Amino acid sequence: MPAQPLLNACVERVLNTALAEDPAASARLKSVRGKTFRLCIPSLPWPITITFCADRVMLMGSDFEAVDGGVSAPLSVLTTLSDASKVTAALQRGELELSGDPIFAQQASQVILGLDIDWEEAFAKRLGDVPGYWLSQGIDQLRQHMPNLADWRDWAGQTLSEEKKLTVGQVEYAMLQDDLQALLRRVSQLEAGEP
Amino acid sequence: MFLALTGTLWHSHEDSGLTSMKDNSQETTHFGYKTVDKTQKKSLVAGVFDSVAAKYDVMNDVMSMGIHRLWKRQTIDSSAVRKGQRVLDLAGGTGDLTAKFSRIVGKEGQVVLADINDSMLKVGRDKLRDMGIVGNVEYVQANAEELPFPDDHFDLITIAFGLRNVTDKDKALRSMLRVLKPGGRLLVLEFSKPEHDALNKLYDFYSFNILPQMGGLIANDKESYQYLAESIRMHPDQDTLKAMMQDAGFEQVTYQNMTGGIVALHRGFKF
Ligand SMILES: C[S@@+](CC[C@H](N)C(=O)[O-])C[C@H]1O[C@@H](n2cnc3c(N)ncnc32)[C@H](O)[C@@H]1O
Repeated sequence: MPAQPLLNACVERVLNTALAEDPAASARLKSVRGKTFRLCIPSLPWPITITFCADRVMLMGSDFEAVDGGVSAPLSVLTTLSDASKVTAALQRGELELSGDPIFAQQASQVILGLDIDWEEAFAKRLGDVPGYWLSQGIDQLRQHMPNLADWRDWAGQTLSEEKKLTVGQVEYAMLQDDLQALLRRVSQLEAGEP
Repeated sequence: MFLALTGTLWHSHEDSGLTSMKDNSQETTHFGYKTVDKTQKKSLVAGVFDSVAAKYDVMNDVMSMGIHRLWKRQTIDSSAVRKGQRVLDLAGGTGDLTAKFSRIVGKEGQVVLADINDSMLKVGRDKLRDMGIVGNVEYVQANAEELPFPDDHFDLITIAFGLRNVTDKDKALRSMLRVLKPGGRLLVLEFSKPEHDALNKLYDFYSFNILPQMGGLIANDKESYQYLAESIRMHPDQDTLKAMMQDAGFEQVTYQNMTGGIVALHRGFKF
């Protein structure tokens, strides 16, 4: 029993520290506040269950029952989901399972994927200037090897609008469009290097 | 370890005049290995917590090496609590569980932190305010045996390391059942009986040798920790508590051992 809550406590702390460093995090959290998302990756010993609160997340154990939505897929599939067509294909092949509201799945993933942190400043505050600089460089390098944020934007946008349109109400759909527009603007700013 | 969850509960045991109590009362109950008059246990326990409130959290962490946090995490995991629900954290003390529930239920929900002891409640209220937890938490001084809430009021009731201190546990369980909504659940987190002999021996050694020494060093109160170990042994074991919950009217009662049964989490529903 202790491994899971212990690991959850550690991951929760890291995530909340990261969220606290991102000024836009609370806005993203707002849309999912009070909801719980579950990510099932078969190669992991237990699912990742995240409850979103006003200014933080809580990592729950696999026993937690009040789950609002989730995604289930092998890691190998998740890492290839860079555009909507691949999501669609994965859904059709049965390699990817989506439960609950797809808008929620998109919003939930954005809370973490949208993290925008000045790592250098964050580490410098805790470790001092020089180690902070080196660590932030390392993270930048790591990011270059991660899927592009714009790809995730396309994935979420196209999947939701093309595949799931029928299941979403008019008002929700309009809200989603607004969110996506805002996200698009934010991504363009990020790509242009604006703060 | 872990015993400090109630580590200093019996702090003022000797001072409180317990040793001069007579055993010939008609209605008696346990206080450690001793038998005391039922009418006196409530005030003894309440008095004890007055003296420990300020340092309660620190003692909890030191003596349990932080493990109580993992037990509490497991309790949250078993709660199925949702945004907008109403939760009672009974015998909630300094509010560890309340803090977590408050964040989950959000501003649409409510958490009531209830405890018999005003000093513990004050420490809890200050702590939660410092953590920025305001708005959806209510603090109520209440005895678990006579809960001052309407029938069918809460979606979830938790009582963590509290039931052991209650004089009439059956009455308290019935009171909890009354204020729970149909469909609601009760979670009881409490010390219990280790599953394996070897662990039991190790636990005994820790409880009756190391713990009192640590209590002496840290809290300058060796005897209290001796009584603490005794009181844990007097608490009903897993199956007895399960039967007590069923007798009170809870359904689908199950329990889950943690740390080899040193602690158990009981769960029951009202339908
Ligand atoms: C060991 S503390 C547990 C506090 C908290 N639940 C935790 O796990 O950290 C036990 C609490 O039970 C409270 N208590 C004892 N008897 C009680 C009763 N009859 N009704 C309500 N609370 C009681 C005490 O005042 C104390 O705050």
